[in-house]
Amino acid sequence: MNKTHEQETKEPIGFDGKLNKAFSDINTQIQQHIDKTFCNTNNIRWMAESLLKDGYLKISNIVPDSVKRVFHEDVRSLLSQFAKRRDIHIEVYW
Amino acid sequence: MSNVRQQDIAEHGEVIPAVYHSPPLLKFLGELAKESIIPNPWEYEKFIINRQEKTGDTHGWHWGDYPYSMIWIIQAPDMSCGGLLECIPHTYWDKKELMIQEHVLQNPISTRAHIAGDIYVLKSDTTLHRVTPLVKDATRIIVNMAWEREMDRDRAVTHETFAFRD
Repeated sequence: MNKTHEQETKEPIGFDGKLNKAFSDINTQIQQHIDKTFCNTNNIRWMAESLLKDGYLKISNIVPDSVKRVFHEDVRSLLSQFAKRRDIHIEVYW
Repeated sequence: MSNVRQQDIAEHGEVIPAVYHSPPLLKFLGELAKESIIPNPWEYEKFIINRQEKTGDTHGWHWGDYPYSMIWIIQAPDMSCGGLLECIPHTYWDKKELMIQEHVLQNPISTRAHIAGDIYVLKSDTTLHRVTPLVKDATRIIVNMAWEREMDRDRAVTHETFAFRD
C-alpha cells in the first residue's frame, strides 16, 4: 500500500499501572463485573464459538456501565484537546 | 477522519490506558479467544481514537496487523448516514498479493450497524473488514484497541494498517 500520511515522530508512551490513578479501581470494577456477569461457562463457550465463526462478537456488557461512562468521558476530553484531522490517501479497492 | 494518537492518549488519558492494560479484561478476552493475549509490544498500535465526520470519510477494506481488536462505539450516526461495519471472516492477508476485490466477490459480507455504547471484539487479522463511507456529514467516534497473542510476542510485524485502523 502507498501511504502518504505524515510521519509519526513523537515517541510512544509506555504504561505503568502504579502511575495510573484509575488503574486499581478500574481493575476491581471489571473483575467484579466479569465474575458476576459471565459466571456461566457455557455462555462463554458459545461466545467464543461465535467469535471464531464470525470473526466478530458484540459484547457491549464486557465492562460495567460505570467504567463505560468514565471511558467515554476520557474519549471526549482527549478529542477536545488532541484530535487532528489526518486524511490518509491510499489505493482504493472498491 | 480525525484521530487522537496513542501518544496523546497514553500521556494525557487515564481510563483508556487503564482499561487497555486491565489484567481481568485481558484474562477474559483470552477465554473468549481461547488463547492468551497480551498488550501490543509495539506501543503505537495499542489504541487510537477515530472520528469520521465528513461525507466520504471511510476506513477501507483491510486486515489488522494484530489478531484481536476491541472497538468501542462512542457515537454513531443513524445507519442511513453510512459508517457501517462490513466483515468477511476467515480470510487471509497475503501482503504480497492482497486480492481484496476477489475476497469481496467470492465471500458473503456481514454488515452491522452500531449505536453509542456498543462494544465489539474482532478477530481482525483474519477478518477482512471496513467501515463504509459516510454518505452525508455525520459523526462516528470509536476507540480501537488491539492486542497480540502471547505466543507471538516476539514476532516481527509490519505495520500496514498503522494510523488508519478501525
